[in-house]
Amino acid sequence: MFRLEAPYPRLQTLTLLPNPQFSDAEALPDTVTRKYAMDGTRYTYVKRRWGRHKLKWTFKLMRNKGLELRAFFLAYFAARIRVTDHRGRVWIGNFTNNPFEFSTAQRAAPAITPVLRGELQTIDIEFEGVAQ
Amino acid sequence: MPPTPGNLCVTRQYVEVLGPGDGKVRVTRQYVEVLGPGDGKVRVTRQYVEVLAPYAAVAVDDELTLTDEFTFNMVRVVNLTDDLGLVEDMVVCGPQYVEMRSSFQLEEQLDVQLLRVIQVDLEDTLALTQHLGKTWEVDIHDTLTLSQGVTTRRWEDGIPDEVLTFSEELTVSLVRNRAHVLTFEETLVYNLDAVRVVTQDLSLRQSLVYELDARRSTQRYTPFIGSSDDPAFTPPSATCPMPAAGIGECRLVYPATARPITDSLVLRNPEFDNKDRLQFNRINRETRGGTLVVFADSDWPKMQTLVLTFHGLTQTQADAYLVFLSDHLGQEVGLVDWEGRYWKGIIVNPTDPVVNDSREVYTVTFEFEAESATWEP
Repeated sequence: MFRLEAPYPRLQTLTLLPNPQFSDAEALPDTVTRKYAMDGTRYTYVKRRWGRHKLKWTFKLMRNKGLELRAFFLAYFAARIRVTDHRGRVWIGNFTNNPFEFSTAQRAAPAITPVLRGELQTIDIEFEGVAQ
Repeated sequence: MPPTPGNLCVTRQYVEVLGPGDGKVRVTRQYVEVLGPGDGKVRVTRQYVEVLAPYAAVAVDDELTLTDEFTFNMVRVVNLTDDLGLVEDMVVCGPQYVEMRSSFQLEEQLDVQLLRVIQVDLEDTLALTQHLGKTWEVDIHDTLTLSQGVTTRRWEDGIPDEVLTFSEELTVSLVRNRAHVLTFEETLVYNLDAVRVVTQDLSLRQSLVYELDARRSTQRYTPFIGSSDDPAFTPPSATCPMPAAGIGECRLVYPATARPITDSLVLRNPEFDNKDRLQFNRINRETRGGTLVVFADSDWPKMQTLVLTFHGLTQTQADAYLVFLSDHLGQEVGLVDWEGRYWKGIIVNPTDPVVNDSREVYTVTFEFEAESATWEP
């Protein structure tokens, strides 16, 4: 189970999502600049983001859940979010997607009221946050 | 005349002595005048000594010691002035003298101790003028030393104003060794021991978020919206948007909101892989410490774009689409989507071609920058 809660810290809304697809990614936003002196000595300059990570998840959602996540983005696209990922880790951070793009890839019966057609949507979420 | 409390005491003394000194005739005159009240607080003293002596080497001392003390104990004082004016003048008229010394020492101190914290202005002025004149060719030493200090305990509105002004002038017409040294030294030491009152409001707020362990909660539209007193964010809708009843098939209509509809183009349902883009104006900044700060004003535009591809259109539909696009280019049109929802917006990519894939099969793709609207028949 994947949880999105916002706005942090005064949480108000919770959205439950299924676990993300494989190929989820996690990276450090830190940077390393490498310089060489005239005598060949190598110097590195590190800019840390102090615990912040960049994460990317891909979700396949029913159309109903896609509409719910769409409404969640509209409400909290600039708010701090608390994410509990599929590994149980808790992250505090922000969405960094722009734009958020829902792609309706295929059918996914049955249709769940009030949506007329059962469809499956795909959405990528990019997130930068600090693990708690 | 003895001093009497509460009365003005005037004392004058005039002494004139005519008598022998060191075997010769010496004339001495002394004149003392004391004017002051009888309580001994304020006193003005003048002393004038004139010595008439014959041609002889004698030592003459003239020492004048004055003490002016002004003590005032009161709850509130509007204006308090204590002036001490002294003039010392030494004039010697004689054919020959060995050494002349004129020492003038003045010490003035203003010390205010406030029982309560009252803002007052303190002014302490010390003005000294020294002049030494000599016409003969001898060594001249003229030294003027000033020392000024300010001490305060309260220091709220700016720093204390301490001004020390020097003016020294040496004018000679004939001199062998000329030296004129003007030395400045000013030291301002801040010893600040102040108590600052720091206030910080402690704001307690509450919020509530909950989760129902419901079956298929990851498939349905089930946002769990609690409560929060954070006014910055409006929670999403708790209910899934319902399709409009009787809205009909997928089509483009014009105008978007006014009625009646003057132009309409019926389309098939779009292909899969249609896009629903949410694009926001948002500022991402990173602090020096690496913290990501994201800000968006609620009034900034939020662009929603539908990217739709219609396949299998007839030639008639394709031609009608180009006519519709040309007639209403840049105008707000309405779109009834395949789910029975209504949008109004503009088509932003008129340059995308209509492709003839095969016989009587045409494909149209357009991006529709839209916002949700209410269908009105």
